Amino acid sequence: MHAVTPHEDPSGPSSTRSARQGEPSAPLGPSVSDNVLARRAGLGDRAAFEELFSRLFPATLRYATRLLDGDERTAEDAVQDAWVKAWRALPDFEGRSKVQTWLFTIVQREAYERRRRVRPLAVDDRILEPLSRGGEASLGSARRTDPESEAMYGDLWRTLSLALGELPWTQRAAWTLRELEGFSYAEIASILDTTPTVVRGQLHRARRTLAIRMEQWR
Amino acid sequence: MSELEEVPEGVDLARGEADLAAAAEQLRGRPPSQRSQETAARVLRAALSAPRRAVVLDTAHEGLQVTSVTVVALLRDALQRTLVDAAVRRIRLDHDGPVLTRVTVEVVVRYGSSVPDLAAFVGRTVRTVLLDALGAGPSPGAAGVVDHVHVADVTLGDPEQVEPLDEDGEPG
Repeated sequence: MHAVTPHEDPSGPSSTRSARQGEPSAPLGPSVSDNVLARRAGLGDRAAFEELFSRLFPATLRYATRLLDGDERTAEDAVQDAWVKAWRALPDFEGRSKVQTWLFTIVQREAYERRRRVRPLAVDDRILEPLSRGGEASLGSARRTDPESEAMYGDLWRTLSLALGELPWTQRAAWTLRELEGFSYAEIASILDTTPTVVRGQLHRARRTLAIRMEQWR
Repeated sequence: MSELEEVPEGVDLARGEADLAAAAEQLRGRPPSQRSQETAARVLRAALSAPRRAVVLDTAHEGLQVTSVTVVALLRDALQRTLVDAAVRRIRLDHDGPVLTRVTVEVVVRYGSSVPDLAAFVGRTVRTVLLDALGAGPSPGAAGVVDHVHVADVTLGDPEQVEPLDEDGEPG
């Protein structure tokens, strides 16, 4: 520790083998991990933030859209606010968890706030959400009751999207994070502010309900 | 804690589970929509336009102030361009009102490097940047600022790629 004195040249003769000037900044290729990008973005490196954004933005938007019943406009607003908050908070991100987990936690909160404003959320995890307006009609079109519909077997994902909309919030979030985004139970617990044991239970119930709906709506 | 949903009569759960697995696979494979790609540019612009929390710092030049965000960015840029076998992990500024009092640079060093030499180099780089940003002379000039180099970690691998998660082995 010492007081700063003027007129010292870091490239002077006392420079060591550990440091030299004129080297380009470290590259931002695929070998650079997300957490390293987050650290550099926290220090104000905009190029690092842009690379991190290009890697993680699609998943964050996909997640918010699933949570918000496919409402793209609201999901976009939620994700935009989440990324703005992330940019502002990155200087305080210590890198002791995966940056994806940290980021999805912010997205989850933003999406939850918007959903809560639209309609109250059931506190009781047993209560299934009513299908959104038009959901029943869409559901009908997703049923395979004739040869033509059978040809639509490739569109099973539409049925699943509708069934997801019926799940209670935490089950829907847990299932999406696990099955679509590949998070571990511990990471999901961190994002949803709960325990891995609770996550395991929520996932079990979500899978059972979804499997029943997929079969009922064939 | 809720109960599992009863399987209704006539529902083939195994077939539903197979459909669920197939549907999930389809969802995972769906490409991003055109709309999401258009949204990305807008969101990135909004994020990078958002101001970070900062304090305004006095300089030795009358009427000239700089923000703490600017000082951190200048330090990061100078160190990132020049450090070899070491990487900056964090930069912390302490201030007394509008006067910068202390700069702490946390670095990770590759095993085998000379830590004292590297710390001295970082210190000199910090001083050069502060001179440029704040001007010479006592507070609020660069001479009034104390700098501290904290070697946070020594690694066998590339210091630029080291994360606390790698070596601490615990989330948090």
